[in-house]
Amino acid sequence: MSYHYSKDPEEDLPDWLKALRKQRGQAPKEGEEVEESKQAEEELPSESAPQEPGAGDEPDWLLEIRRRHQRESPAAAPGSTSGENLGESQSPDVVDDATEVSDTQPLASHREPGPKEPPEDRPAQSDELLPDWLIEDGETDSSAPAASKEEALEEEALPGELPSWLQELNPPEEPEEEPQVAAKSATEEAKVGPLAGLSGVLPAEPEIVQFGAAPAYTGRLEITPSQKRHVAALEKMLAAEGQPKEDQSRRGILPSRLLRLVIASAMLIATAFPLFAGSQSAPRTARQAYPESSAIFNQIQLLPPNVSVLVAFEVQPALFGELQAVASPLLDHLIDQQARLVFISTQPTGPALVERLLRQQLKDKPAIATGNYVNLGYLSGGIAALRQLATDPLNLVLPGDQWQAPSLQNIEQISDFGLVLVISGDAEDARAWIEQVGPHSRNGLLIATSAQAFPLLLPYTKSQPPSLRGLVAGLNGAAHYELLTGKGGLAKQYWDSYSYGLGATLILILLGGLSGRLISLRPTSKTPDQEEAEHGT
Amino acid sequence: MPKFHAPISTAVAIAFGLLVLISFALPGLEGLRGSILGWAVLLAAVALLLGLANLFRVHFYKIRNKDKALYSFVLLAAMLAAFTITLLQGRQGLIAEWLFNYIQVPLESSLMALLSITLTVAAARLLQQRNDFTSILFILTVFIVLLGTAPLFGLEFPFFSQVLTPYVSRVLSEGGARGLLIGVGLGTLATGLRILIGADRPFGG
Repeated sequence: MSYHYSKDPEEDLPDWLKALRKQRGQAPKEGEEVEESKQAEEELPSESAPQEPGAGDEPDWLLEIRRRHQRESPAAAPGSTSGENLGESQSPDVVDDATEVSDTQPLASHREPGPKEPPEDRPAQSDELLPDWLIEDGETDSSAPAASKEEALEEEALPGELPSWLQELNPPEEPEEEPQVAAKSATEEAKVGPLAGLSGVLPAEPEIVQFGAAPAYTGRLEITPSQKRHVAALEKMLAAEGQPKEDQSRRGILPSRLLRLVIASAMLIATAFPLFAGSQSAPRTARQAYPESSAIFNQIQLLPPNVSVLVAFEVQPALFGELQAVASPLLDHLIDQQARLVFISTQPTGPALVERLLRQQLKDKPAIATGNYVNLGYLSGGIAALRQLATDPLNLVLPGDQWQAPSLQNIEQISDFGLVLVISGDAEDARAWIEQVGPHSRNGLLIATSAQAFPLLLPYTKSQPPSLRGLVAGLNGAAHYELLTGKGGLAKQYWDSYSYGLGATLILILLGGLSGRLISLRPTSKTPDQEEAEHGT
Repeated sequence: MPKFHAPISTAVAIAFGLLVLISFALPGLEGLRGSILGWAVLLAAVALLLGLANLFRVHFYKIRNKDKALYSFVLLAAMLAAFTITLLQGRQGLIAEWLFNYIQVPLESSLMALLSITLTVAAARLLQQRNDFTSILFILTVFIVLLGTAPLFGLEFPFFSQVLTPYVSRVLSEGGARGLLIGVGLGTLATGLRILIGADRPFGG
C-alpha cells in the first residue's frame, strides 16, 4: 500500500536523491554499469554526503575494497551487505526496503521484511553517485517491484509517523483475536456501570463483574447474642467501678465472730447459772468407776501420823483452776492424817501457787494456819534436778535454809519420805517424776493430774511393779475422791456447772455438725453476680 | 567464719554425758555424778536469767526500731517492774503476791478458758469445713466421751458412763498412749545417743 501525496514529492527531495532517480530512469547496461560504477566511485566522494577530509586521497585498502566490490557486484548475492563500505557517509534516510503502511493497521504494526530479491530484479543504479552500501541495499531489497520500490523511495515519513525501517523494529503484531477485541472495545459502548454511555472503554467481563444495584446497608449495628453478653458484662464492670466494693474478707469474719459469740454466751450461761443458783442436783459418779482414785485414798488412809510427805506442785496458772479442785481434797485428807507436808516445784510459779491454794482452800486447817508445812521453793534444772533430788536431796541448792525445818530433820534421801505426791497438769512433768524419782520412793508415787493427762499416765498404774500407786484425774476424779472422803469441796460446787456446761457443749457441737452437714449436701448456689455474668443480663 | 567454740562445746557435751552415763554403771562415781548434776542445776538457773536478758534485748531493739513498739514497751515495763519488786520484797511480799494473784493467775486462767470456747467452735464447724469419714468419726468420739463423762443437764446415761466411755478412755486411748510413750522413750534414747556421739548438737556446736 502506498501513500498518495497531494503535492509533488519531487520538490522536497534532496538533490542527490533526485540525481539518483534520474540515473535510475536512464537504466544503463550491465557492462556499462561496471564502468559507470567506477566512475561513480570516482565522482561520488565529491557529490555524496559530507565527506571526510582528504577523501580524494583514499587509502589503498579502501581502494582495494572498491575494486573487489566492483568485480563481485554482478554476482553479488542478495542480502550481502557490505561490510567494506567503511568510512563512507551513509544516509539513514534512504531506504530501499521501505515498507508500505496500511491505513487500517496501527502504527505499531510491524511488517517483517520479505525475502530478499536477487540483485537482478533491482533497478540499475549509478555507481558513480551511489555508495557501495547503498547499491547493495538496493540489490538486497528485491521483494517489491520497481514501482513499489520507487514509491517506497518516494515515500517519506510523514510527521508523527514512523519510518519503515523503524517500524520493522516494532514488536510483532497482536494476534488476530486481540485486534478483534480491541476493535470491539473500541466501538462498543458501555451500557452499565459508572462508565455507562461511553465508548472505547474497557468492558468488564460479565462473568467477572456483576453490575447491579448496590446492597443497601442498614445503619443499625448487628450484634450477636455472645457480643451482647460481653457488652452487658462490661457495662456492669464499669458501673461497679464507682461503687465501693464489698470487703469479701469481712463477710467471712462476721459470721465467725457471731458464731463464737453465740457459743461463748451459751456456755457461759450454762456454767454460770448453777453456780449462782447453788444447784447441786446432778448425780455423782459411782465409786467403782475410778479404782485409781480409790488406791490413793487407801494409801493416804494407811499413812501413819507425823510422816513427811513430799508434795511436788508442778502446776502452772493456766490449769490452776482445775487442779485446785483436784488437789484440795487430797491435801485435806493428808492434813487430816497428820502428815507433814513438804512442797517443792520445778516450775517457777509453783511455790506461789502453793501458797495461793493453801490460803484459799485450806486456811481453816490448823497446820496451815500455823505454818506447819515446808515450802522448799523453786528447784531449777528440770530433770537433772529431779535426779539429784532422788539421789542426794541434801545437796540441792534451795532458797533459804529449809532443811533445818522439823519436817525435814530425818530426811536424807527421797525414800525417807512416807509418800511422794505429784500434782501436775502436764503429763511430761509427771512422767519426769515417775522416771527419776519414782524408783527411789519407798511407797511409789501418787499423782493428781488434769483430765487431759489421764490417758497418758494410766499405763503407769498397770505396770509390774506399778510405777504409780494411785491416780486422780480431772473434776471427775476429784468428785469421786470427795465421795470417798465424804466431804464436800470444790468438785461438788463445780459439778452441776460442769454437767450443764458439758451438755451445752454437746448440743452446740451437734447443731454445728448437722448444719455443716446440711450445708455440704445442698447444691452449690451461685451469687447473683455470677448468674448475671453467665446470662449476660 | 568458722566457729571456734564448736569443737570445744561438742567435746564438753560428749565428755560430761559419757561421765554421767558411766557413773551409773561403775561404782564409786556417784559423787562425780552428783557434782555434775549440781552444776547442771546452777547452769539451768543462769540460763533462765540469760533468757530474761535476751528477752529484754529483743524487745528493746523493737522499741528502738519502732516495730510494734507499744507492745514491746508494755512487756518490758511489766517485766522490769515485777522483777524489781519481787527482788526487793521477796516471793511473799505484798505487792509481789498481789501482782501474781490478781494479774498473772487470772490472765493465764482466762486464756485457758478461751480454749474451751475455741475448741467448741472448731468442733461445731468441723463438718462444714471438712466433711469426710475421719471428721465424722472424731465427732462421734467426742459425743461418746461427753455423754459418759458426766451427767448432762443432770441426766445420766448409764450405757455411755459405764460401758462405752470407759471402753474408749481405758482401752482405746490407753493403747494409743502406750504406743506414744514407747515412741517417746525410743526417741529420747536415740537423741541421747546422737548427742553422745556428736551427731546432734543442739547447743550450737
